[in-house]
Amino acid sequence: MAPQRLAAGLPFADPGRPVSPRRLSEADVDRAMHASLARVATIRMAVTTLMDNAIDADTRTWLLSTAEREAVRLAGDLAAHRALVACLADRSPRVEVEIATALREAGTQAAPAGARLRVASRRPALALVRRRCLEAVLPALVRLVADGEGEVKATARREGDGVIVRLGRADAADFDARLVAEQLVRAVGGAPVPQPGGVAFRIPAATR
Amino acid sequence: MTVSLLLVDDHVVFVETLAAALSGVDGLDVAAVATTASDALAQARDLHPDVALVDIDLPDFGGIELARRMGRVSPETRVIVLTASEEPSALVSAMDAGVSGYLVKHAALREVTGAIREVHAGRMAIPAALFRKLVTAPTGSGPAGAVLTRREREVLALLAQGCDVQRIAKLLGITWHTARSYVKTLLLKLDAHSQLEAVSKARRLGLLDTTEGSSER
Repeated sequence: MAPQRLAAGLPFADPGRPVSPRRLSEADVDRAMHASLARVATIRMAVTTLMDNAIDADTRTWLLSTAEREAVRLAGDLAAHRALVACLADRSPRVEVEIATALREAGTQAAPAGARLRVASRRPALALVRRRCLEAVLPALVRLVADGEGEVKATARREGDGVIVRLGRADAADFDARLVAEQLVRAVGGAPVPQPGGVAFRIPAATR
Repeated sequence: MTVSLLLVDDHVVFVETLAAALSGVDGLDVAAVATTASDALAQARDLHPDVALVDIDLPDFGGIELARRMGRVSPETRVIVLTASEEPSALVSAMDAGVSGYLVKHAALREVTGAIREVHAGRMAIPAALFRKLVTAPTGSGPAGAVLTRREREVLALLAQGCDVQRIAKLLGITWHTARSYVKTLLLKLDAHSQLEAVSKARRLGLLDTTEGSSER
């Protein structure tokens, strides 16, 4: 059976297989930039339409709400780009990190932007990651999935020699930042796994 | 006369916004929207739109390849590429694929509608700044780096009008050898193997004024 594919064409990881992380490349960063530029383009198109045209009230309202929503999403994208830069600069070795604790910390970091995070994991899940990169990536992912002020439900669970981290909207709203989120996942050495309405990935588990 | 449009972009919010914006413009009709190149190709085959606005980065196959294939299934459709790239090489690839227009994605509505009307009228639509970047690119090889002197442009214009080397020499008041030397330089700069190919490439690159070639000599 052909592997499932994300909208951007990247194959999902098989949750049962070992993770072989690859380093973030310039092409990954370009992909994320391209997605964010589409938001800039949307905002400019909406604004110039509002300025240039005699449009009906419904379309005007729709364009205004689209521009407002895309501006919020662009702010989330910018936080993601900052995290990508942090990961590119992080050459530290991989260390053991307890992911549920790191997720709770990420929730605190993302809260000023309006995101609310509920971590549902009960058991500790130790992963082997570059700490500074992970600490930059998780809050950015929470913001992307929250899409403004939404509530995010997160879990981290050991599966074989990997840890599966899942971030999804509690209200199952559409997730519109998959392309940028995928680059964050790559940055932290993870491989995407399917997660409707959010993002999920597999990272190497610590051996003990 | 209404211009029918096909909009192609995998960023759903952007393409929906573009559709809403263009639907409100007199004389334009958004016939279809597609988020993949294969869907766009099917729509072009069915609807034969006048103009297609195509994102260069699409998930299945890219916008440049789409433009090439669209030329086969709907030759009357003029393609404008929408892109975040302002690299001259991307523009040259787009021209090679036969596109009629090239727009940066963050263009204002009036720039988009202006480009649509230009290409629908049979003209090329390329932002002036990008065109300038193309003709002043410092590389020495290939059409992307074509930097022509005033005299070379004059010779190119005469070639486009069907003049041979002897005629060019006479019209410009230069020797046959000098005229021939200019033609050779043009072929080199445009990476062309014949005078006809040089004129064709120059036209695609927008190096020829559209009014040139219309007057009789």
